Amino acid sequence: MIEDKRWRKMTPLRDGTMRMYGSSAASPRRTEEGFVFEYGSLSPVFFYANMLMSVLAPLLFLSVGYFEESVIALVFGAIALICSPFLFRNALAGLRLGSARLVLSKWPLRMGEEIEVVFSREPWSPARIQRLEGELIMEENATFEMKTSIHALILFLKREGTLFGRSSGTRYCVVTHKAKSFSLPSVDLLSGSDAVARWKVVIPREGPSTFQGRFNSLQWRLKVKTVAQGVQNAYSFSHFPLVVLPEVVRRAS
Amino acid sequence: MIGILLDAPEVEVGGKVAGRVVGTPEKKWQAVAIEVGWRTEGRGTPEQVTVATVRRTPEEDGAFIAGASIPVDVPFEVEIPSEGPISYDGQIVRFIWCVSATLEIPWARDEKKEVVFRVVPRFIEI
Repeated sequence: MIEDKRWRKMTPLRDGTMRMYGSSAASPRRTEEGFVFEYGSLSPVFFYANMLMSVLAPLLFLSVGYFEESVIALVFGAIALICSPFLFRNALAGLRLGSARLVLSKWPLRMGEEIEVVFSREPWSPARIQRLEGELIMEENATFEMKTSIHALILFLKREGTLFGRSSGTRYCVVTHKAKSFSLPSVDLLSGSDAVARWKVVIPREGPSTFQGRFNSLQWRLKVKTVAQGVQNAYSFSHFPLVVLPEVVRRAS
Repeated sequence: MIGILLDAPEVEVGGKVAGRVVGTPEKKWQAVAIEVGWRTEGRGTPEQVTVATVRRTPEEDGAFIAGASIPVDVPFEVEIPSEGPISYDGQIVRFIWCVSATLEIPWARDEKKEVVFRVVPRFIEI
């Protein structure tokens, strides 16, 4: 058994932030309109830099390889040439879908509480996003260590017949189980309309609350699927971690 | 034999778990160590966290009788952190709260007892 005395640092704090392994995890920014999560914003500067790199890098390597008669530079140039369309397409897809933004009416959340959630995207062309689908998820996460011992090596040898591919040291494996899932009504977007979805989310009264241990955790999150047209990877997922306190809201009579 | 008597089987987060460790040991005992904490069970690496430890000796209770055994009756009261975790029985993760008492007997095997209790969320009115 591993005893961890630092457990208080890894639990959700009263202000709704969560600390894991000494670092602060994602928590929303407080603004006038609510508590805002903003992810995946791909700035045009990054996009043009990415495009420039995807064109310039192969040219640079190939020219160096050609003029300096360097085989290594030619090989790098060839690899860069093969990779450049993927870099270009990913950058284009990211820019077209735009940043994902979630505004919550309350933070942190409590069991039995209803909150308003507004999800929005700012794509290049609003007509490209067809549908937004939301899902409230509660997951159990269990992390376990696999240590290389003589016993483990013998078991591996017996099962596989070889020790090839068996690395040494400690490995961490994470098992996730989706314990609860609640689908939110999907929002079909008309051509030309803003990519915005408004949902009312109720955190179940029976919980459980968020908890982050060292190896075991209970996590709530809101998953939003953006279904787009004419963009590479016709859909993309955005995940927003939610902190649910161990408190049940009861209406005063 | 010792036993743990809890005032209530359920405690809200931020509340207090209270009870007594009672018993009539046959041998002379040195101290009673009471620990309140939670542990995990399931697929993940087990974790064990002790929230509070109470250690009482017969001398502290003013009931020390040299060379003779005296009955054990040690009250305890420990605050459960407001952050939890709450008791949870899932498929791959379980959070279990318990009170464990160890009766330390010199030159003999210590007596141990454990009682599980539930930590539930606190109700708030809005």
